[in-house]
Amino acid sequence: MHLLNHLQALLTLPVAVTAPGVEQFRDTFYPAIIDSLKYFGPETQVAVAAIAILLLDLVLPIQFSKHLAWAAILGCLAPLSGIGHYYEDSKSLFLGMLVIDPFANFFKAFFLLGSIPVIMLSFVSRKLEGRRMGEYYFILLSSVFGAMLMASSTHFLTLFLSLEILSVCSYILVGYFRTERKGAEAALKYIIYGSIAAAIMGYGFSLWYGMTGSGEISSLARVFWSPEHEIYTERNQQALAALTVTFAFLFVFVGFAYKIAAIPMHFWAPDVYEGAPTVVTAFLSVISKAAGFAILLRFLGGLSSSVSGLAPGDMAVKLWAGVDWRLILIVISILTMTLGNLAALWQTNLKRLMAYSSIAHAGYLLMGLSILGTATRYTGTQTIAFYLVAYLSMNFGAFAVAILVENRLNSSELEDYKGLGRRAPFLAGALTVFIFSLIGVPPTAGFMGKFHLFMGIIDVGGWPYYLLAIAAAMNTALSAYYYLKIARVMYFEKGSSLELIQSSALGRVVVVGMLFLTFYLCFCADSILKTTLNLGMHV
Amino acid sequence: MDAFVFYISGVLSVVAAALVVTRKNPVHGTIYLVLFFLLVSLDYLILRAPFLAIIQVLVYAGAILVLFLFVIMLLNLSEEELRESTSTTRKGFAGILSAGLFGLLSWGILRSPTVRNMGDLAAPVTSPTLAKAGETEAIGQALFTTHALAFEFSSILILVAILGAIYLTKKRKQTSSAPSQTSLTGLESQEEAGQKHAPADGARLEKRLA
Amino acid sequence: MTLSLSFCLHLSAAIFSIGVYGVLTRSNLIVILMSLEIMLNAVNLSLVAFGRAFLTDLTRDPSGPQVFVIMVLAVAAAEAAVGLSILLAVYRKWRTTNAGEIDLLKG
Repeated sequence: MHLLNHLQALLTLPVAVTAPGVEQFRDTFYPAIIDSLKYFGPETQVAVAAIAILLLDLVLPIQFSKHLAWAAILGCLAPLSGIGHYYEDSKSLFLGMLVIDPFANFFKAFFLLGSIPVIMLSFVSRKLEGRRMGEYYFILLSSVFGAMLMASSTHFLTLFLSLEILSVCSYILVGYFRTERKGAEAALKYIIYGSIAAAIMGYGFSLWYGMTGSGEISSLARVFWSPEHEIYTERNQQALAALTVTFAFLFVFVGFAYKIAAIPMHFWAPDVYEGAPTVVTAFLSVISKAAGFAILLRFLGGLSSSVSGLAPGDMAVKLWAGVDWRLILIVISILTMTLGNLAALWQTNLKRLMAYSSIAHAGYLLMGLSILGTATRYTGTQTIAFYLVAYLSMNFGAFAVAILVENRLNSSELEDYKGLGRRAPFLAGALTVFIFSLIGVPPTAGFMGKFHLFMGIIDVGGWPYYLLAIAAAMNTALSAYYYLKIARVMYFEKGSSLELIQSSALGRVVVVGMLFLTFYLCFCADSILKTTLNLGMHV
Repeated sequence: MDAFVFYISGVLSVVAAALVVTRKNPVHGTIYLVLFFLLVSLDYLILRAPFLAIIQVLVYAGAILVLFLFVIMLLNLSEEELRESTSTTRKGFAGILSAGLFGLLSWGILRSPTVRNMGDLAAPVTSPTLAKAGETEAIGQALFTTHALAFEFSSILILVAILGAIYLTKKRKQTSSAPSQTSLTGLESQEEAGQKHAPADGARLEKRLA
Repeated sequence: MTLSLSFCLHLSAAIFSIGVYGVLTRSNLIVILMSLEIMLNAVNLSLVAFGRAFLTDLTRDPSGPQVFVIMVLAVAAAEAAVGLSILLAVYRKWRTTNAGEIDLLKG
């Protein structure tokens, strides 16, 4: 790292000490920052790639502008070597602001690899043709940057900022076709809901920061309990958070729930998914949701680890009046999946249907969150990580087919999918596989993901978890109805024309890739889950 | 003395916020919003955050509010376009919800021993290092040492916001051959304007086309 | 007269609730954005109050909350800019700033 050596050489230069802080800066902070920069390579590379693409677009003629996609893919692949290099390390960076550990690295790799299908689909999508794509790829890569930061934040400040970077980029991407009525409306609704969630979350952060005195995410578990502060009280061998801290927890959770489109902040999802460009919808449904779950896992994982400094042994924190936060999660999970599945039953637009489906899947993923900190065969983090990869394969696959069909038919209404079985047999077949994966039918990735979630819940036991398992099983059966409706429309209903639908080669590559991932995840699930254990997903 | 001023400005800022939220005309709302920002800035001064007080005035009252006023001026909404009809049930429900929110937060604050044990916030700070806590130099040191990372990330955020704002408001080049009268807001052709306004007010439309 | 942290937090909570009321009730988009700014100011006030409290009671570094306030300010500015530009884009297509009339996507 040539550049860093130069910077370190600067340390030895004589500096005129005029202000009292300079020596302290030179001796403590400067080395810490330079040392941390070594590990910050991947994010830096993504940011540099984003800016380079923006500048390149200034000199490229417009017909080559769409080929910036290859530069963007390169910008997503190059940081992977940096992630691989420091994979096993667990280090706190930039004086406690970020952390680099295998958990963060997993999610960073997930975001980088997951953006590649999005970039390919942007290249393929006909609606994006004929424009200058520099700004588009800049904002896309910036949102990946924000997501990567979210995965490794350990301080409320970096968490808030990175979440806002991802959110602002998403607002712009959703409103990318600003001259369409639906697009503008979707962007408007998204930014209003998003800003409300950001304000609520910020209020929660301020209460949390003030009450615990530290901005670190795991501060509640690590702050030393002292009688006169009573951040939490000790009652019956449990640590109970004070009322204000409980409110802070709820406010912060509401902010995170917006990001993953769970109740109570799910209202934006159907409108935004329908009005945004389909590529952006695919991006939001997978990458944005995964980023939300990454921070939720870190936040709740911090609560699950034992509280230090309490006299009779270590214990995990409960909310005010002994309410277990896992119970709240179970309730929200049941409500979310039920609402998502019920509302999807009468949707006629594929994108809107996928929006409610993604709300329902957020509900299933919350099941994994509710088993955090309990001793099961595969921990909550592992099952969520696995399900997120499976979810990536199903959702990107379904949206890839939707984009390829939209390229020719210019519509996402199920009406226009009639007879697709004859007009585009490969696409229809692939979509059917992804539908089975979304329902959770073997031998697909979706089945394996749901299987491990169910196993985790049943392992924990106790009536709330059994209730959750029953609700999830019923919801899975319910979801089969509207997913299979798509297959029925494609195969058993006659459309208006019989003309074959051509699809681009790159689009088919994406679909084939997702198909491969679907089956691979199903058959190699156990080995994948064991490797995630090595990634330190112990909670 | 400090406490007395804080009480007055605190109560006035609540009143100003309530006025912002209830005025029908957004221009009146922005006037009260300026007042609100200035009162909050006074609060920061008393709470030993002089740098933030100045920044509050510069950024909120000086930049964000000006942005709001520009947009309001560009839109040039008429009396009829400003008419809102929110049902009283919705207002009642929202009122109950926000009052309930305040009640819950107040309950939590009153119950908390941490908050109760904090001393007088208006008391003078004795130690000389702590007395310089909120001033520019202290913030600068924090911003460039402990929190340097956040400072760098905010630059990416602002860059993205700038780009997004420019992209979203860039006018598309005219594709229609017929000349269309566009106002500052870059409204689309007259036909579309006519379509939207015909049911509402025919007389105004006549005046605009003439 | 003493200034208690309790009063500051109550003030912040009151301003936050007024902002929430504004967002829920009004249908003029500009007023909704202004109410959002009020909510974010309430967050800032709460943070500054805690920052001052850190000086006396917990003797922690009070510049932590104040730097957080600067960042919340930056975020508020960014969101206001993007929000107002989206509002302009919406106005160009929909010719209205009334949230109730913008309902092509049925919620």
